[in-house]
Amino acid sequence: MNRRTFLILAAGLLAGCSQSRNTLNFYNWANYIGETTIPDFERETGIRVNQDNFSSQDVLFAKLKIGLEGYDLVVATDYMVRRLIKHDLLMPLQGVQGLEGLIPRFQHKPWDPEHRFSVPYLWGTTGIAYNARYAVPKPDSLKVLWDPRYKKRIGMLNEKRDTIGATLLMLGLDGNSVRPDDLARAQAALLEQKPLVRRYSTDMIDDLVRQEFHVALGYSGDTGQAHSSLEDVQYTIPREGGYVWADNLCIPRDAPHYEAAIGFINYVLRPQVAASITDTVGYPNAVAKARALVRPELLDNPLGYAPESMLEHTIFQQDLGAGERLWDQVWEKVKLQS
Amino acid sequence: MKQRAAWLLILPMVLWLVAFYLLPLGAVTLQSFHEVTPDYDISREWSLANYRRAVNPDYGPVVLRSMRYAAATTLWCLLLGYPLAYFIALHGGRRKGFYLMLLMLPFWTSYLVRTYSWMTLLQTEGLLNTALFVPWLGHPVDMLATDGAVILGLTYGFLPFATLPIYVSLEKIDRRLLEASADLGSSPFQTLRNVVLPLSRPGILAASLLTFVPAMGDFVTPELLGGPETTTIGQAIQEQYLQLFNWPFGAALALLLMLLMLAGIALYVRLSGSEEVLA
Repeated sequence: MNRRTFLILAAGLLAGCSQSRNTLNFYNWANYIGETTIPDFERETGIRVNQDNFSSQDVLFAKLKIGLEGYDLVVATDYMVRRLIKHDLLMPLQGVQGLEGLIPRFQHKPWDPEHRFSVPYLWGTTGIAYNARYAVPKPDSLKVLWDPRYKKRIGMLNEKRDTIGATLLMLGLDGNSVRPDDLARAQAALLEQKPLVRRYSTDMIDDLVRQEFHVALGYSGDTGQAHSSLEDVQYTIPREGGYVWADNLCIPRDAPHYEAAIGFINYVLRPQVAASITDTVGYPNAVAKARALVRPELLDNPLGYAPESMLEHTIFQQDLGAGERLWDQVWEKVKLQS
Repeated sequence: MKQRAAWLLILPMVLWLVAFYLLPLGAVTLQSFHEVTPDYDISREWSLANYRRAVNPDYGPVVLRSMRYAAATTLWCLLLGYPLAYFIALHGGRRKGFYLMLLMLPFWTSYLVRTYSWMTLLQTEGLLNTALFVPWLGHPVDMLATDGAVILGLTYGFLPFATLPIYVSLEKIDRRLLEASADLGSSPFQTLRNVVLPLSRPGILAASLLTFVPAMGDFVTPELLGGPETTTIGQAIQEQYLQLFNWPFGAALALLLMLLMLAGIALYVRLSGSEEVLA
């Protein structure tokens, strides 16, 4: 629930941040950093880190697009990296070390093949989070999110790319489609589902633990955090497929503290640091050598390092280009109508 | 000379209003006549497209719902705030200051934090359910994500704003009028109805405006306590700004809402004959 609080406070807060040389303003998802990552970095470098949280990638885009200055380091999902590059909102990275040590799956991706602007931070999947006590039989299809048996116990992500995308996958369509027909079908399905939905939220750890949600479209690592508080919370990648994504560290075009941001990127690429972040948040990192250092239960586990067999039927989220507006229109309708 | 001193006194306020009210409002107004390009930039051409789009049927129910919430909130605030103000003003005695401080106490904590605590009280595994409904009814009651939760949150938030103006108008009443009313044979209820209520009308009218207007535009409370089917116009505007990156359309919606409210207030003032409240 922190994300939304911060979103609302964020706008005002950042303006007040100190602009001294020894500062790093980090714009990140909530609950998305190791427990000691920031204090350790501060102690090592003397740089003060101000962390600020966004509630969705759209908010990140909006803030950077209007030219809000002050952020030095932001966390952008794959398709968003492409979009930010296209809008000329990022600064090329210079002096990043350790790129060759990344897991091949996240190296040289089409949105930024040479890692000129982005370095993968953490990765995960979008799939079905469920409470094994109530969701019987164990769900394996996205259709469970349209099952009236779970009326008002269904959670959906307040992130248009995941929620509309998963609906497309549920309908057997391309999860990155920009065909108006496909999107019209997705819109109809989402409107039909709406009376069953408890809440659209990107921050559902609490909702899963407190059993507000019995089935939900969720993120692997968040579900993992919920699972550590309540064992009944489980996760699976549905048979229609899911998304695999990486969140990437990027430096905005007008970042006032470029060197500090590069320093932080190099810091989190150290295997020990990457592993400790993963241990806290449950999301795997993209540093190959860190794999051997993380909590062993995160390995070969859909909540953490999903096994290859599961990743086989996942897809990446691509930049939609001009089709973005179509997705926006669907999203607007879905959120508005009841 | 006197005149000039008066002008100097209000100058800071005028500057403040120009810088932080008129200029932003002007910018929002100008922006509402542009459009967003497919490239997510703001076009240079002028157009009425946003206004044409805003009157589409999708927004009607959302505005009506927001009005319903604001009206219910105002009603509850008056029902709860009036007796409270009455008690403090007429029976507060030496403790008046203390009671008023209690009334302001919630402001010492952020509104968001207080609304979050309502979430923890109302949720399925929350205090009300575990301590009351589950032992009593045998099953939890769904309270979050309902109209009731949103109205409860808004009422809670705006109660002090409703209570204070009523308190002020009750405080001003000459106590001898109450005695006279009793001497003339009125029962306490008749005194309340025929003397106290009419005399505190300016307070009631001010309280209604101070509650209805902000409740109508609120987006935080429905965002936290509401669900998919409690979308308010405030949330719709916020969504245009932050999620869909259509500032011009958000601006048009905000301005239309403002015009609607101004018209509503004008009508209200006219009908209730309460020009003196605002004067």
